[in-house]
Amino acid sequence: MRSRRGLSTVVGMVFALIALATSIGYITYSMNTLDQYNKSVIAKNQQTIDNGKETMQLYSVTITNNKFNIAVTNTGYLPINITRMWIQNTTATDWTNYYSINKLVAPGANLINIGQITSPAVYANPAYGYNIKLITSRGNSLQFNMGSPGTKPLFMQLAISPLQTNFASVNETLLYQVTNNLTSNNLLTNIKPILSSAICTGGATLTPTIGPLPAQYPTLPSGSTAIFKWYLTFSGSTTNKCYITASLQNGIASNFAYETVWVK
Amino acid sequence: MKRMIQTQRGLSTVVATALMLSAVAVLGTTLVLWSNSNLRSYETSLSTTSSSNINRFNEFLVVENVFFCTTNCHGNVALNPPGINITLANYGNIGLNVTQIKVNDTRLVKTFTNAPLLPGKEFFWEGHLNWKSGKLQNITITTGRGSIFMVGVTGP
Repeated sequence: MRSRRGLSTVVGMVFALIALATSIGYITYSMNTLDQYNKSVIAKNQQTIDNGKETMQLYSVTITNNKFNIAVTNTGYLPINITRMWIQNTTATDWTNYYSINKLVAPGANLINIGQITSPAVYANPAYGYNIKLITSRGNSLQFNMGSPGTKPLFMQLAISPLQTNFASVNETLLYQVTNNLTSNNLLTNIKPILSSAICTGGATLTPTIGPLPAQYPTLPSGSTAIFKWYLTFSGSTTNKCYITASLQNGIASNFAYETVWVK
Repeated sequence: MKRMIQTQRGLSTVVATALMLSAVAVLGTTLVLWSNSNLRSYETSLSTTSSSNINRFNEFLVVENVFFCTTNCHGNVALNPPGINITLANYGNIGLNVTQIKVNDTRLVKTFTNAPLLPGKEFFWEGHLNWKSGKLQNITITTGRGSIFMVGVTGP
């Protein structure tokens, strides 16, 4: 009787052990699987957070040696790997290409001379408009337009001082302001002013002596204003007037500013 | 006579015990095998669901560039311009299959049967599209694992 009781206990124990081992195995496996899943979710989450933290700004864009010369600043807290540069010539029809960059930018640092060393070389024409896109290894991008002022009309005004004079001959100061009123990330390049010959009544003359100062703005970011100054000599008799206009090289023909100066 | 009765009683007990043990062993084994089989199928199911979800999480497709062409769509003579040229890049660490590219919901739908995209590689596709300047074009990419990537781009 004692022996039989022992046998049933052994049999029960065997089954209990099998059940326990199976359960423990299943639970361990499930927990491992969940752990992997959890790690994957955390990694993806971190990747998404990193993507959001990655920020860079355009520092400058010029055309040097007939090539693009782009500088960007890493304004975020994470290193950025700029992998590729897409360029579309918006003046020409259907011209687009991409080039490998693969350069790291530390937080707070600048990456300069982007576009100067590419294989194959990327040549830029200052008279053309370009859409440029820099891609990072996290899939983010910095896109901007650069080009001549001839793409869209710009806000501009001309101011001359003094506007009226009592004297037959006077030195005048002319200020020509051009504002890049295009939408953000539209950078204008090679802003060069042109001052027309003055159209005068009577025997008046309006002649530039010095200017423009500065001769040009290499780049004009969106929202910025370029100011050019000329010094002129105005001479004439009473009621004589001079009409003068200023515009931009490679600009739209109908996009100009004008001012009139006269003798009282 | 007394001895014989005692022997018979002992025999029936042994038989009964053997039967009981056999029954318990058979029933127990069946139960263990059944539960093991169930657990195996749960494990397989869990493993499949988990790995497919993890793979889907790790898919990282980027619409790297969209180019609107007017007359010369990268010299693709088969394409009647104007058109749209889409560049996709796999920035994830696992390969993926592009199964569908959809522009503006139903306006332009291209289905792929085998368009693998390895990590770090690009995929170009272009199709005929009468795009309008300044109008938003919604691009939806579907992968073989069912991930959907969407981006909106405006024509120049």
